[in-house]
Amino acid sequence: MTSMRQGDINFEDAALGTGTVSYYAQDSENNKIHYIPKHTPNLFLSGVSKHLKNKTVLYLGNSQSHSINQLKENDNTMSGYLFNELIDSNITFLTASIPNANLQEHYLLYNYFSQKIPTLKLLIIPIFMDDLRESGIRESYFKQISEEKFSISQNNELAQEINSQLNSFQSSDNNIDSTKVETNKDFNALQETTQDIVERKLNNKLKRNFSFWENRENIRGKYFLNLYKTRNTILGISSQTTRKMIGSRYKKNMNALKLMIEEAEQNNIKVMLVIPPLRQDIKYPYDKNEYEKFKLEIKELADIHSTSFVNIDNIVAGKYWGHSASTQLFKDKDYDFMHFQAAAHKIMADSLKPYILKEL
Amino acid sequence: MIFNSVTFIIFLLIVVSLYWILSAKPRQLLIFASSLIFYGFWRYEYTLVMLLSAVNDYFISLLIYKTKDPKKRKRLLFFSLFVNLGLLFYFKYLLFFADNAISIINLFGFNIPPPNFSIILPLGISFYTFQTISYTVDVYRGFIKPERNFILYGSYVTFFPQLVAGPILRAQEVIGQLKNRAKFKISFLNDGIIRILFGLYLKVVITDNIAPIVDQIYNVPVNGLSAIDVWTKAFLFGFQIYFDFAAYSHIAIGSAKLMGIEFPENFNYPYMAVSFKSFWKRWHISLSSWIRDYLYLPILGVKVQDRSTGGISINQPKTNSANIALFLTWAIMGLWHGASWAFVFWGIYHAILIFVERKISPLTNQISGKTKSLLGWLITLPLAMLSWLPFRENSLENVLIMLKKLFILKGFFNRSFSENTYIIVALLLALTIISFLVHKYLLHRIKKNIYIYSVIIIVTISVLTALDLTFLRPISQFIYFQF
Repeated sequence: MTSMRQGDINFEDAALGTGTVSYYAQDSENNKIHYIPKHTPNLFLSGVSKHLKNKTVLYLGNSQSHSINQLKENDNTMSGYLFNELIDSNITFLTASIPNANLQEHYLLYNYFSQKIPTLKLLIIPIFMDDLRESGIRESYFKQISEEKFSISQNNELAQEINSQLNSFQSSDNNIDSTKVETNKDFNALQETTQDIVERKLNNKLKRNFSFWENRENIRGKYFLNLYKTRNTILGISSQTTRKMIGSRYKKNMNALKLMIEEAEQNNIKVMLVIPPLRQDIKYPYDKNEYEKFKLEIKELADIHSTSFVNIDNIVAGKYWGHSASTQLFKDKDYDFMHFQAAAHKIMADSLKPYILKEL
Repeated sequence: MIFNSVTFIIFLLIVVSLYWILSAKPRQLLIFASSLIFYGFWRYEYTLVMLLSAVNDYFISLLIYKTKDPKKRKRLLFFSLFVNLGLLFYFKYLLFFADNAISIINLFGFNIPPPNFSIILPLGISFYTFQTISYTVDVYRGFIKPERNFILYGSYVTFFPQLVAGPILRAQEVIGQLKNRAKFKISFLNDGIIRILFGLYLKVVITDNIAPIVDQIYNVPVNGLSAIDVWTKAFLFGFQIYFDFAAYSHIAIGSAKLMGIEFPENFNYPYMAVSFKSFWKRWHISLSSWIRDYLYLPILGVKVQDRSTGGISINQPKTNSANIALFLTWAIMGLWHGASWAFVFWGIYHAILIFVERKISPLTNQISGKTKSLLGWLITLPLAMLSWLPFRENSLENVLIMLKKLFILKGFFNRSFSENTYIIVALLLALTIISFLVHKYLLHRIKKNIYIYSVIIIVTISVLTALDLTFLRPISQFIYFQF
């Protein structure tokens, strides 16, 4: 059996909250079996290449799948546990996750990996109601894929929109050389002007000589974080505050999901739709009616396409959930409805395993 | 060169320092040369187009001044207009008219493909063309004598603070100030720096951070929007375009002020206007004043004025031709902003509002002062904001769909955007009202207490400097550059 080693711990993502850290599972040879789009996709694929002769499962997640609360030695994520347990059955379980991933981003990830992994047999899509409030493709997470000049080969409106976004990430890089520290976006207004060269040189000089200039991006981040906290404090918004669905974004994400299912069907890739764990011992941040309706809609979609539907939203007990950093001023922490301890990752892995084995 | 950049700050420091050191002739040369460098930092090859327009009007104006024969003077004026408007037509409107002409021809069964070429719009062409036209017309009208010193004249046309997005100035307002440098006062630096800091704040802190939200909400398909979404789109873009353009004007006025040169104000709290007549005395004042003096009043045969202040403000005309002039003027005003029917629609929309306002004025005049102002503001603000929809939305069809949505009461408050979008609109509206009230009722009182006023100024400068330096990035151009 291929045993798991300690994965990469990434402390950069402060948004995960109190005691919760990023953890990307690895195989016994320290190759990541958990891809995060900020990393080079080719490096990930070459790392896992020896496992790709097996039937492959791809789990498209959000930060829930790459975070552990109260991390201890030998802890692992659901991805790591499932990889270890399925590899003996000649099944390779891979995960790709992005914080707050929306289904349009998953649609892009699916298209990318289905092209790169010919042995892909099962696609697992956990659908977080919270993430259906998000929209669009984020440059920070898809820059690497755009640099490969990848585009979705489908001819639908969403694919065209995503391709044009990817293209804009690419073209924005044309004028940059590796020595330029500032991101190109900061010089957007100067494209194709004489000023562009001068402005970049001046910026680099300022960065080299003044630490303030170098840290401006962090300062801007802190400024917005404090604005966000001020808003929440004034309006009394906490992690438990009900988040209503945003109609247009919900529809766009559901459309992306439908496209993913249809295209996977055409490529003989099975799909499993999962309602992921949600903390339920305290008031959760959804409108109860909307949440029930949402689950029903996913179930109906699964029925229409004869794909499997797994609802595991109540499998993680309250004691396993973490706390997030407070989203308000003058408060330390808040309830976390997304991230949990390794024990809950194990529970989740155990719950999904029989369904996966049944599908393959 | 764009204002929201490190390059401009350094450029301005150098130019202002030299300006106060050099004697008259080299100083004038400095202004002219630095203005060309400023423009060349965008695309140096297009300085030739600007110079062509400037040189044309320099010589024509001298000839008009020398010539006594009225017919010959008129012919010279028309030649100048032909060259200026010809350049503007070629760079800005050729594609639009070609496209429309082909569409009309194709209605008769032809199948001509749309034009397959592109023309780069020279930055600021609409602004400097209007400036050179006003110069020649003012010489023709005998308001001013032509300037013989080409460097001085060229400095007026190309003066970098107002070159690419105004204010559109009259020769008599600027040339004298460029010729005779004001005696240095520390207040020039104080006032100039505060205006620049405030302008940069509006641009790099407010507008550049609203822009992604505006982009996002204008990408949402219009069919699914509710009435509250349409209002939100109109208001948010309304604030974006106002803060963006006001930012440019603040920086332009502040930069000129550093050299002791006074520019007239281009904005005066337009969103606090209590009527559409008042709105046009407060929004892009130099453009509406230009339109007043070189288009609207000449059409009406009314005596023109010769200043870039005041906006369009004449008493209610009595003739039918006045109404035609109103609609024609505003259609042209719309077209000035861009070669698209959406801009014409915007112009006509404003003409209709002014027309209706004139018609109902006998009724509204019966309402007493404060109630009238409040009611006027409550009607003017939302209708003025709605006018921005065709500015931002590319398709006129989408604009009409959105306008229809305003009357659908079912699901009026159904939201399509994130909560922050609505909160930001409410905040910006509140800030606009508060800043107006502070300016109108509080500021003069604070100014009386020099200690409190000094503390407020020091804190404001410190906060604005910190924010501006943190956010200063040439991340986006000013919206009015495209016009």
